[in-house]
Amino acid sequence: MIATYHEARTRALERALADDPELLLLGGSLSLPFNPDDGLAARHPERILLPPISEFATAAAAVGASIAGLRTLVPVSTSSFLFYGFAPVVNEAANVRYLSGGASNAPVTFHMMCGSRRGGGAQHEHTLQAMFQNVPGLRVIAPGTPASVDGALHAALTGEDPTILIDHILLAPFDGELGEAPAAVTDPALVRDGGDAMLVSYSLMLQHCLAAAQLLAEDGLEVAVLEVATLAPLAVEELINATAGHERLVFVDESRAAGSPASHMLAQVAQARPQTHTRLVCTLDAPAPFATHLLDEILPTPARIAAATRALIAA
Amino acid sequence: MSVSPAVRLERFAAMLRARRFDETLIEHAEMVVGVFHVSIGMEATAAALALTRGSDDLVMLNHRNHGALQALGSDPEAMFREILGRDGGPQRGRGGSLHLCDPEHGVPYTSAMVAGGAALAVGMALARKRLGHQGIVFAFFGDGAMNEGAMHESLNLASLWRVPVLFVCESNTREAAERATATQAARSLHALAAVHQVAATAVDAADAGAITAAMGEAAAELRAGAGPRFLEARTPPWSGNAAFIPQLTTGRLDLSSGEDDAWVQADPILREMRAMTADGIATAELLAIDRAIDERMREAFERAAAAPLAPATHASEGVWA
Repeated sequence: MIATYHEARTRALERALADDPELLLLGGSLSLPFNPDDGLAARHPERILLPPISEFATAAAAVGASIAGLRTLVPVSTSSFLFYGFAPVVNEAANVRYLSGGASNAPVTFHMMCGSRRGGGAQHEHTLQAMFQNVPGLRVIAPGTPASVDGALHAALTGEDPTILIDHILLAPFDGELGEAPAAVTDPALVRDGGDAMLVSYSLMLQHCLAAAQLLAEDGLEVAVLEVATLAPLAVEELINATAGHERLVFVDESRAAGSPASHMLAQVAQARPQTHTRLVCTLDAPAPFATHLLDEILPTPARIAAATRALIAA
Repeated sequence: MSVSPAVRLERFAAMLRARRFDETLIEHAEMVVGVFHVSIGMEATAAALALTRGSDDLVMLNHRNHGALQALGSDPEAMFREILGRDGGPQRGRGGSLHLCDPEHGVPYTSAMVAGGAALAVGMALARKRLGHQGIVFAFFGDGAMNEGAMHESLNLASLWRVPVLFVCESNTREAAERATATQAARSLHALAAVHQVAATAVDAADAGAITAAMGEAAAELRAGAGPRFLEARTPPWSGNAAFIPQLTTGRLDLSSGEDDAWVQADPILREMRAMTADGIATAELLAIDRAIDERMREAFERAAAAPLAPATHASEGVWA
């Protein structure tokens, strides 16, 4: 069936709540306030504990609960709220299995809206995926389609690793095919085929890549689009195999380039196949400005991705 | 409420395990890679934990964890192996002194971040409550943790959610109990917990009887369904605790010099020993307990030190499920 990303996300969470009667949400919604209400608070008030504005203690409580056998999902909402709660996530949850010699683990999930929602300004439009991917032990998943958000929530809420779900406010209306059973996260996943070049991305930028591919098709260029939803641990071998048919690769990321998931992917592919020609399209090195015409000066837009791809093909 | 003579001897042995473990380590400090923190002066609190903890209870310790683990009954050889990076260390060489834990004795994981473990304890207690499991959670932290916003967020959350956490603040650097310090404007630490509506008291943690009674009482209230409790365990500062690596070559004192008279008066172990002999327990019996423990620690250390290093493969295991 065809479903929107928002519908797929809501369905996946409903399924998880039904499958695991103990799952507790430390927060009321995965969608509010910027996406339509997912209705969780109305349907499952007993599955929700609303914490005060207290990000450190909330994050730590979620991690502690998971160590003691209670799986929790923390809807962080805007990702930068978690800066106050960074320590329990990156310095506790990520280390529990490692430091306990395997005796304990912390199967907790943090869901957050990353990237530019437009008009949020510098403090509300961060790309935390670039930071989290550098912390061993944190599984970082950033879906970009209805099918992949379905699989991402399933993987996060049934897995044994602490997991960061990187979501994006602007993904909600995008639609796509959604199966009945929970999808597995298969990384990488080819979402559009084409022989002239391949675009590799995740989250909202995957949709921007699809839009760029459409622009390029109008010029008679056929480009493939590859989704890599699991940013950490990166499936390096699978990525190298999935890109093997292409000599021209464009890696697209809403993070700033330094230490970004896309630059890591590019490095892995370039190392394995030095003859490959690559481009990196990332947000420019500036905080997110409030005025949207200024914001568009720094973000990877479909037009900018298409321009970089044309340049690569012409080179 | 006083404990029976048998339990009193058990408590004394728990205190001695904590002390002799750390002293053995101090004597071989040159063999330890990295830093370690000892628990000298905090043995009565550790022993009170050992007497109070029920089999369903969880414990969050901190970077200064050796004493509590020894009091709880953890295997000293396994701990020495971990601290020395040897094969057979329970954390597989990845945790060391800072992160010693022991799920069999209720310690599933140890955070070495100031206030970090106490914040996790709130979630563990939430899990106990939500899942309908028996047991309470002990959160041990130092006086410095009370400077962290994290601690206050956690006290607030525990109080709002009425989860079964016993916060035990081992105040071991404050010289004066009711006075502001260079780092703390508040005159008392338990008063800081009380503003979050967490029932809080202070206790002389160098008095084994007093700390045992206070911890037992607080735990009983928690088991009866009360909200969180806070104990300010006022512990005599031992100068060796201040350094990353203890500057004192040993915690074994030569009492003849007179230089350590103040410590001799404050030391919770010597205090309890004096109290026990005053109550008619034979000194010889106490010394025999000490000798056996001391010997056990020495043997455990020697076996650990003779073990091969932890295999290199342990470095990259345990990152992912």
